[in-house]
Formats: sequence, C-alpha cells, structure tokens
Amino acid sequence: MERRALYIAYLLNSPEEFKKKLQEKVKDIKDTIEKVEKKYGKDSKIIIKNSAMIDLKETLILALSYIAILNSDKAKEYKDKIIQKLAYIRENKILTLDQYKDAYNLLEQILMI
Amino acid sequence: MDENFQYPYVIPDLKTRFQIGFGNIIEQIASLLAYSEMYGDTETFDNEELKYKLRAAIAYALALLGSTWGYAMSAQTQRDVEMAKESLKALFSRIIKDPELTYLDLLDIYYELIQKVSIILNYGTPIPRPRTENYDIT
Repeated sequence: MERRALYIAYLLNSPEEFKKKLQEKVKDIKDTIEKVEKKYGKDSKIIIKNSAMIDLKETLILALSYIAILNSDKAKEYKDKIIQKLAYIRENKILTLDQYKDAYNLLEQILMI
Repeated sequence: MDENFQYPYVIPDLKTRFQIGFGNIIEQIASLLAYSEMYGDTETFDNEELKYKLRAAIAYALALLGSTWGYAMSAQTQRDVEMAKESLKALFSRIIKDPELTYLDLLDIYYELIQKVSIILNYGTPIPRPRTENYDIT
C-alpha cells in the first residue's frame, strides 16, 4: 500500500513515466474501439456504456493529471476539452461509437504534446 | 532496550511519509471522480466526500511543502514555495467557502492541486523509483 502510494508520488514527479502509463490506458481504449468496429462495423450507431465507459473516464482523469504535470501553455489548451468530455459523460452516462472515438482522438492528441 | 531489537522496516522520513499520504488520497480522489455517478443520481449526487478528500489532499500538499524546509534553495525557489503555499491555501478556502461547487469545479480544483504538487515534488531530493512498477494507477 505504501509502496503503491509512493509510486503515485513518483509518477507525479516524472512526466515521462506518467506518459507511459497514459499510453497503456489509451491503447486499451483503442483496442475497445477496434473490437466494437470489428463486431458491429465502423459506422455502427451502437451505444458505449458500462465498463468501456468507465475505462474512458479513468483514462480522461489520468490525461487531466498528465497535462497538469506538464504545466505548459500547450497542455492547458486541453484542460477544458477534457473537463467538458467528463462532464458530458457524467450527465449522459452513454456515448455513441463516434463520440467514443472522438474522446479517443483527444487522448491521442494529448499524447503528442 | 534490547540491543538486538531491530525495526521491521526502515521508517520513512517526513517528506516520504507525506508523499505516501498524498499518493494514497489522490488515488482515492481520482477514483471518486471517475466513478462518481455510480454513487447515485447525477442531480442529487453529494460531492461532500470528494470535497473532504480534496481538503485532506491539500493539507498533505501543504505538509509536503513544509517538509522542504531545510533544503538549500535559491531565492527564486523560495518565492515559488511561498506562491505555491498561497495557491494551496486559496484552493482550500475555495472548497470551504463555496457550498455550490459543482463536479466541474471539483475537476478544476483537482487539476490545480496536481499541478501545484508536481511542482512541489521537484523541491528537495528526487523521489526514488519504487521497485514495483506494474501498478494500474487508476
């Protein structure tokens, strides 16, 4: 428990390491999209919810933490975008596949900073 | 005292203990932010637990800042430390004084807090990398 907490503090002090963690989570989101597209088609109007939605929320919170650590003007541009996405998800609880992909694209942009 | 007595583990220094405390609480906050609507209806969701934990995290951040005392610092860093302290106090005060804080406001406070702490963690000695590195941090 203590070691885990210390590891979190370490990550907050290490943007490069934090980015690696974020990349792992973003890859999971990408995998989910690919699975859904494979099963239902790229233009599917399917609704994303439950665990896939929780994964996305966790990843967006992680991305928010990441840009806070980067503390640059470029990173700050993404702060409002992430907060808006989280607020929308909280309000609506579901996303269409297109909206889910849109959130994934935002995460990809953040990884490019 | 028994001369053969040994502590079961090395007691961490003060700064490390505050880092551990902060790491613990910030993880709980991130979970609450991610799972918030699971606690009930969005409209009636009570943010009190989130506010309480954010206040605790700010207190840990202030303690962390205090634990940097004694490290050699440039005049600029000393000014940065003072500014960070005032910013953290302002965040704490915002939570106490504004009863109408929304989920969006709390996300904003979370962001500001992480930003300040990541700066504070740079003061003093660097954090050693823990041996375990395969944690899922959310």
